[in-house]
Amino acid sequence: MARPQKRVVVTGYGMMTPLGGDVASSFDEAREGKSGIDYIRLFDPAKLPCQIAGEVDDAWIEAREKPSHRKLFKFSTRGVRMMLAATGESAGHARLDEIADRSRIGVAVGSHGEHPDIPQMIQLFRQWRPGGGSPWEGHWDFSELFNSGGYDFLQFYRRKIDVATSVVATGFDAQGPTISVCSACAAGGQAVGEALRLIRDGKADAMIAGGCESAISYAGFFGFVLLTALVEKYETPQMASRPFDRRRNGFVMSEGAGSLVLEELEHALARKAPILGEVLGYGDSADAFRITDMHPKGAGAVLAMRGALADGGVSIDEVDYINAHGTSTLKNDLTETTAIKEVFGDRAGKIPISSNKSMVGHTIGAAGAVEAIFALEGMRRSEILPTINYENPDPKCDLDYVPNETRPAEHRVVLSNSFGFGGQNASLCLGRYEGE
Amino acid sequence: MVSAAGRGVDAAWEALCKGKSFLALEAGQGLAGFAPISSARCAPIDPGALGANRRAARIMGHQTHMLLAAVSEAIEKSSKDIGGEETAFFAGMDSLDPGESDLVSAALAARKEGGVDLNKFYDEGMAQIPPLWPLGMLNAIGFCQVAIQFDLRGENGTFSPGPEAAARALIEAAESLREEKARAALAAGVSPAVSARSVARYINRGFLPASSDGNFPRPFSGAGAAALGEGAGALLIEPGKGAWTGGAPVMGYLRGWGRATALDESDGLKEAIGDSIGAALASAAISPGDVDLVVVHGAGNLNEDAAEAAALLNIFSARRPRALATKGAFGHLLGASPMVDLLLALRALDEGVVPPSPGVGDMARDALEFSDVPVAAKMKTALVLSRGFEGNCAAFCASAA
Repeated sequence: MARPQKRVVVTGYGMMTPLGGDVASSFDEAREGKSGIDYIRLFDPAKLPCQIAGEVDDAWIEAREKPSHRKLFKFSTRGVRMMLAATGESAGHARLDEIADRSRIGVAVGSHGEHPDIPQMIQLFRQWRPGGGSPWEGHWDFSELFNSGGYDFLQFYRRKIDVATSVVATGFDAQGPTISVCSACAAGGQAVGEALRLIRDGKADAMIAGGCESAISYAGFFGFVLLTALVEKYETPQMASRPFDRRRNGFVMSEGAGSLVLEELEHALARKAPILGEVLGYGDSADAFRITDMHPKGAGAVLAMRGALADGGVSIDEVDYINAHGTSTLKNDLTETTAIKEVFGDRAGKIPISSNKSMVGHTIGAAGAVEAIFALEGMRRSEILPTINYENPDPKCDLDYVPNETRPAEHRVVLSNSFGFGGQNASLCLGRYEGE
Repeated sequence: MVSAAGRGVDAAWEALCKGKSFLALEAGQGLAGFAPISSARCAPIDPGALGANRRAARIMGHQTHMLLAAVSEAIEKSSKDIGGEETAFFAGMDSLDPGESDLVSAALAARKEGGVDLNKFYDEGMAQIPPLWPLGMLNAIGFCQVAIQFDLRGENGTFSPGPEAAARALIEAAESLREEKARAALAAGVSPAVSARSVARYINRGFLPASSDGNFPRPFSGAGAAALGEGAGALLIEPGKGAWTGGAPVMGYLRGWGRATALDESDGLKEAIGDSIGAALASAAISPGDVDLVVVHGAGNLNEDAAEAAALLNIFSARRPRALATKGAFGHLLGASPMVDLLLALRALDEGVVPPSPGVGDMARDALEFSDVPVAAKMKTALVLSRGFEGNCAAFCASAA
């Protein structure tokens, strides 16, 4: 199959996950099959049926923050602070400072801004003014909320979808095109895909691309609790996320950030930048089925995977590993398995498939970027990360999920899947850099 | 398209040609306690009338209704069986605010004398909040609801906030066709709903005045005040050849586009506006002399209008192409703004009429020719300008069918 003429490589990546404050430590923990999930410390979940999450250690965030970025913190959510730190790592790898024309460096980030949390809701509730015949009649006194400081000026920035993009662009003097993607759990993957397109189109020489999210708060949780999407039955926090296992019963909310520097190959070669991998193709689609359910046959997932392969000029025989979305919910893992079988046919059972979420949890808007980095680092180290907590095979999920132990394996081409709540899907085709 | 004039491009076009402005001072409708503020709201839309089933409609808000109505019209007008894997869908979804009305029961359950009882909230209040309330704050949910309604399963993307998100959606839709990843692409944009939260947000941002004296925003007048409008716009675009052979009515051509960012909004805006126009003209392979109609951004803010006027004068010099400013009629539609302006530009080219621009002032009259009444004019090419927050500028070139 013909590959696109303009090649896009990865010259830097950085991450912050519940496993570690950078790529090396996160990968090292993951390859040991360790879990980053534990009881929640960031808020009191006492009344909730799910009391675990993947939290990033505050010390890691603080240790990696640049003093020059402190002026940006008032605009930044916790997730954006992690994105700044992760981008510090990716930009360092890529030696991004060396690029003189900053207008040729763009930013694409998947993120969702800050939810109003309980303290903000309480401030709002205080402004309910009953009136009329029934208890439900009345109005919110927004002007009082506004005047009392209950509507913080900076809340405007922190709620904005594009705050992560703006803050990263400012923090790293990236003056090129910017994109803010808000497609739920597909956002990080879509941001990388959109960055790929901008470079191919000649709109930028390099793009900082990725995703970040920190929704470990009461408001971040209770919608998923009411939808029964979060795991509620688990022996220990570390054993709760168990993609493709028969006893899986929901996903584990997590937080983190993943940042990649994508660069046009010739541009990277000309400045002798380190090349860590290649983004071969990108496919995206919509299930157009139901807001709360995936298409039962994974039609959207199939379309995204096929789109990524076609975009990269890659045949199904060339794919060596699939980095699954693998959320640990009953439906996702079954549907993703079905979709992989549809795309790969008889080869499906021969391709190793694993879910990083078994160890990291679900980092929502960051997931696509974090998992793409794990996949790229795995190719560099010739290691495929495992799906941990895989103890009880599900007869309906009958592929090779790389159970519990890292597998040494030379591999050159990876598909990395991200499927968003609501039905948006992204698939990235990544490759080991094999030279010109 | 949806605007304060009602549903459909026809409604907006007819109102515009009559010189109507839908901006009105309001203090009620959820804005109690704020000083009167000028805005142009859309009437409520019944999603059931657009084919949404009752279950889906229950979790849709006004913003989704507007998007649904705009996309519905675009698909109806295409006279084609649109949908499926080969139809891409990109949208600029402007800021989505929490639905406070969904919290009333929780608030009532949790209130105690002089405050809020947290235990009551956790024990009783939380269960009364609709499950999709927090998820409904994801802009992607409204987008996905529309994708479900019209079976739009191809390439897609959701961008936010502001006019730049809609501009990005249109560019991505066009790129997906150029790369032959879709046979047809829907590009849409939707404004935020006018609400206490959105008003507070834009007052805080310095985008809206804290109070209004009733002077509607007057683009290029130096009056220095924007006003919010509600609306949505959607275009179905296809490769020119495909549209002809498929028998769909061609309403116009998207010839080119350009984007630029002013890193310093107070200083570099004029250059960024000029750069975006220059890039759009270059990608359309036309010169400023080919432009017959300019649909300005003209938000009504003093500094931005001055920068836009200066950039346009720099490009068009004394040629003074005909011009249209829509925000004095419909308010600033933010995430819908470039889509709505492009739809009206295409209509103006098709009708050969330049509508009046309500409230437009004199600042740009050295560069452009606005009119106070509908003017018949033979026109081939329009330039549509858009400007988002943080100095993001975009320009689109369109030509008549």
